[in-house]
Amino acid sequence: MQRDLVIKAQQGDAEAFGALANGAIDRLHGVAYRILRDRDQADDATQQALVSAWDHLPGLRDPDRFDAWTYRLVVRAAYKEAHRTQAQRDRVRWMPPDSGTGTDMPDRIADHDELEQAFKTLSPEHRAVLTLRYYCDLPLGEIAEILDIPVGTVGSRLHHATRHLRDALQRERRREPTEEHALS
Amino acid sequence: MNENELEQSLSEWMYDDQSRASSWVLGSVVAHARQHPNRSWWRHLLKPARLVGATGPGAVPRPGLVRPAFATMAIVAAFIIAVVLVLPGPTPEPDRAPAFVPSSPLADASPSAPTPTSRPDDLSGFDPNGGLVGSLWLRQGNGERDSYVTLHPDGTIVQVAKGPGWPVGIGTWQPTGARSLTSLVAWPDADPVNHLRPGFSTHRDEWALDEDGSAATLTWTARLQPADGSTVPDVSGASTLVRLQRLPLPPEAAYPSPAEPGWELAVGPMVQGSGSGGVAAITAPCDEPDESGTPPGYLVTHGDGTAFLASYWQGNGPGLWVPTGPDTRGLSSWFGLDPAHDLDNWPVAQLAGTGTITVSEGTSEEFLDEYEAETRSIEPMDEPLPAVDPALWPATGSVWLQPTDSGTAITAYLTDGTAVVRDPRYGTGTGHWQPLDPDTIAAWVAFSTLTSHDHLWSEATTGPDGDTLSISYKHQDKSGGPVETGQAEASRLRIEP
Repeated sequence: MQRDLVIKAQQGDAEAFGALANGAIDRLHGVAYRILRDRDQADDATQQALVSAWDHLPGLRDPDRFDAWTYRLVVRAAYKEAHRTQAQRDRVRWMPPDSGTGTDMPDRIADHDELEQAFKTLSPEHRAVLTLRYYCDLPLGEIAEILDIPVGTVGSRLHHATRHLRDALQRERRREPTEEHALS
Repeated sequence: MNENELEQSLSEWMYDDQSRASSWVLGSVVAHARQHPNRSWWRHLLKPARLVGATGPGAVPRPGLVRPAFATMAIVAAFIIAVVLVLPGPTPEPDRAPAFVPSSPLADASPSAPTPTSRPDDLSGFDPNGGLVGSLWLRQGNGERDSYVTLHPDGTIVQVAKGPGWPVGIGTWQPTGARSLTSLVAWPDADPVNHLRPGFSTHRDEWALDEDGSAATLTWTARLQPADGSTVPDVSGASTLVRLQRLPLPPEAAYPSPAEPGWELAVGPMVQGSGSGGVAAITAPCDEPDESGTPPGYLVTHGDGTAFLASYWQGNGPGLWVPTGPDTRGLSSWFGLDPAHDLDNWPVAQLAGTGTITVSEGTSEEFLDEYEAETRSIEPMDEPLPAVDPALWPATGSVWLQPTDSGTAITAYLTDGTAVVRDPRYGTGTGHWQPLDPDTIAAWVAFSTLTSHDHLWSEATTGPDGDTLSISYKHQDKSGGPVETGQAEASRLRIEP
């Protein structure tokens, strides 16, 4: 079904492309948001990725690779968005952590808050590899293809991203008792 | 929290942390797909009129747009860069060259006066006043397959194509007449969009320049060489080219051109007493707290007045540079390579400094931004390097093709002490090389894509015929990955009659 839509869209069928975009947009936005941690920027990156997809769809030789290809486009768009805003980082409004499903236990909410804070300290590259691995649940080989890097580098980047995340979490937890103590 | 617990928490958090695209995103994208079925509409992205503000059936204005619309789409412009300290001293006069590059000193780095040589890719027919060398913009089709070509006076050529993957072709050229030439360019990224078909392609091009050298026509034949050994029919076509001109830099009158007195001093040895070229790593402004930082761009300034910039963010682009002072250089560069931010004809002027550079992003029509960026050199991966013996130093270029186990190929050209390498696995690398002895060179390169922290060191020894290289290399991800070592064989890319 998706393959047929891709082929039609490659031939200039905007409606087919609309159906493809509709099916992919939340998936792509999810990736962009997790890399950028900002909904406005994620909107821009998603738009950018879909714009690129339409523009370059005729060059996609294998219609079955549409999903992986769009991952690649949105990661690239997210990187650009992150880079563009670095110079004006003080103007970037970080989104507060989501409140979850409402049924989380208090300690789990705390974990999510910690993860949010720790995740922000990672580079876009590290966020991307973690997102593709743990959100998109992609194998390393596919991540390597999307990011256009060797599989070994994916593994290395995952290792360092996880290590940095753990270090940041530990720093966050060391900081919390001090703050509580100060408040008391 | 152990490894598994962290991964589980991370996975749960990512799944729970839901987000959805704003409604305007899909509406605007679909509306523009309807409005621009020929897929050339992306050129409008270059203009301040923002996509999401467009009108038309289905277009949905974005509510509450905070940032200036222009900034979102347009700031991507080409980098400005510049380099670096120009070390004093005369250009060494080679009297003996390593066998891997036939002895054929390029007496004058100026593109207007290369020396006829007896090198295998014979330049004897080269008309020094024919204006063959330099950078040209290759127009093809509706613009989606445009590329930029730089012809170096030593017979090397680099071609940067537009589109996903930002592929780079590297090859060799030789004149066939006062205003004609033939070239052979190898493209290791045979399928830059999909990476579905390992292999590489070669393009054999026949060029004809017009009277003043400002434009050219080109007929090309592309041959795909799939890794599985299958045969694919050749594809041929024709393209037109226009010569790129450097963006004016103030004060214009102060700069010598490559053909004027004073140029040789300005392009004197820059790096370790080597050739007249130089390389600087350009680190974009970055306040990212992560230690890996932002992938830098790498700028090569060749002694012939051309430049090559490999940047993760902007892709690859050719350029032209001029000396702007005793320790500064100005650069105009072009990027037309980003599928989302096509930057056709967006030359950028920038002033160089020492250690830091002033980057002026803009176009010939519009100034965008100016900021300071740091430069740093590309280090040879802790390898000790002997002082270069001028007697060994060749000035001519050479082009090499190295097939890989995966069926792709690595291409590289070596010219005036600088090297540009295209490896589909790592992206585009730039760096230095120098002779170690008459038969051996060392080359150290850094790659500029997401793996920009990957460095490559290699020593290459020529075979008895000068057309083969035995290479030992080591590669490391500077973020701390293991050092990979290996051996490879490469062959000289040669134009067959």
